Amino acid sequence: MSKIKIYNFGPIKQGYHDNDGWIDVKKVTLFIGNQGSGKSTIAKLITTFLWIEKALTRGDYNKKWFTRKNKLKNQFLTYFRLENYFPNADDVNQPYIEYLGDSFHIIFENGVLNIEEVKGKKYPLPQIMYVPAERNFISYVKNTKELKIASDSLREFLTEFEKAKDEIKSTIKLPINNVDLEYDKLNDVLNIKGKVKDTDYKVRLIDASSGFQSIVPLYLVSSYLSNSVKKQSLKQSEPMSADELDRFKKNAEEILSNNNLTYEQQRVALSILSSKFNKTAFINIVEEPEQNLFPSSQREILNALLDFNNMNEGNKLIMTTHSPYLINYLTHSVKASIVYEKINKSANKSELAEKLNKVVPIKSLIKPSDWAVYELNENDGSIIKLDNYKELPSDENYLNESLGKSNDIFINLLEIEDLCQ
Amino acid sequence: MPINFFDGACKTESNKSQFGLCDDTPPPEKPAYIDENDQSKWIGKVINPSNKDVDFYAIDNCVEILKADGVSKESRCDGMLHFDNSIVFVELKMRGSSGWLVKARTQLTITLGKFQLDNNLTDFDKIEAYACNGLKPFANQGNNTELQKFKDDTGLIMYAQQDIAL
Repeated sequence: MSKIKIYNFGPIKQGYHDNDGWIDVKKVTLFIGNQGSGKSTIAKLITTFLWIEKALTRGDYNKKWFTRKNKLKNQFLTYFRLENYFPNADDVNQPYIEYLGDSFHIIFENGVLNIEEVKGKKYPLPQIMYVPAERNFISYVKNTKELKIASDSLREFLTEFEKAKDEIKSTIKLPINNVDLEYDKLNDVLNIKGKVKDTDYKVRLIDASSGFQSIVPLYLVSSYLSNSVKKQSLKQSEPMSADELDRFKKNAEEILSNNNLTYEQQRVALSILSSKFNKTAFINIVEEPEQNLFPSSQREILNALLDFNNMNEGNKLIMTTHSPYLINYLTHSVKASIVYEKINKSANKSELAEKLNKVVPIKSLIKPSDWAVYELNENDGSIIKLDNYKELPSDENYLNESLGKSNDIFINLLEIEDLCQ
Repeated sequence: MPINFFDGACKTESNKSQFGLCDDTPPPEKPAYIDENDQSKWIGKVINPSNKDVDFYAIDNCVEILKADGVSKESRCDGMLHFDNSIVFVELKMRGSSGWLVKARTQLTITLGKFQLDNNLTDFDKIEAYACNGLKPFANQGNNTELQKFKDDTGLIMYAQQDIAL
């Protein structure tokens, strides 16, 4: 399991108080909090350090390359536009970030990365995907290939989106509204196909509702990458051999020493090269999966993401959210997993499993030890871990409490109404 | 001495297909009761499509339940519905601030615990518990762990909703 400590970076000041400051990156990890509290910042930092660890492990770059002064700030954090989150040099509260993964231990302090290898742990080579909040943008432009995007993370997401489209062989059933997604390759158009009162309809994604524009890119890319990693891991579950590693390093060095290539071109070339080496884990970092979705659709997309997350042991799903529904649905998946354990020991196993599957899909269960929810406070830049009641996420979380407060406001109005003479 | 939860003096009854459970205040010492006419007073709404004969026994302000010290009153729920061979414990809340369900669950749990001292739950076909809030007919937030806590404490399922379907 990976973990990260963050102090004094952007909106995160005090960081996490318990567990010696370590924020665990579990199989399912959620960050909740007000806007501006730093949810995305944590998710982006985790993504950045996962990338660095992957690049170090595979030998894309060596330790020396990473430890050059300001490498993190000027090269990696610009990807997420986090390079300006640093305080002035004379500020006493300088950023401190420490990441401990299965393969590398990385400390960022005083502008420099210190890197140490972690030995003896299993490291499944991950496919890492950051799904940005602005993903629906690509659904409502006609020609994504001609799109000039300023955001690096969106551009990378778009690349995977295009690959996912190319892989579409027939229609894909979307998890919401009982509709299919169809790809018209000739005209490079995505269509939503459904039925209203026995009448078929077809609408282009560009003209569809915002909910579809949000869910299609997320679902398509997550499905494509999780299935692609699954296939790769089935082909070869062993890690790279020494020979493969040498070959990879040689090819990578050739790319990196080629002065005719820009940094971005080198990155793309490395990505193509690395796709030859098998990945056995998919780490999906999703900003606000609930975007533009009705509560029941939020449940469907969460269940789909959890299903993808359960395809491989090393997969991880990291999310930021403003949705109280999402936390409640998460609780259902944890509770269903506890119930499923009991079902497996009972005599009427198949009958009960079928019953359970109708309530929460068995493919979307979360083991009680596999989740963590962190709550971020924008007032003091602190982070707390959501408590649990017998392994279930507590109802007393920021989002649920906010939902409850809406009725309290209504009660206040009734009370004032009663005072009217 | 055993507590008599089936005290005729605390009973109101109905066989209507729909009736309400009320807990008027003030005065606060008045027990809860069945009402068939004035929907504006209903905190819990009983849906009784097969017109069963239903008795409602008020508990709070009617049945004396004392704490272990033998002096102070125990916090208990408002009453229970009795029909066929089934029982539904009910707590009625109005204008509860946040935390109303935690309080309702505690009252229901305590009452059930006292009930079990002199009654065998397995003697009944069905025992349920309802926490009704007149101003919050549907649960106003996720209450997963409150429901789990009640299940852990009593072995029963607590419903946090206004409608009680028999």
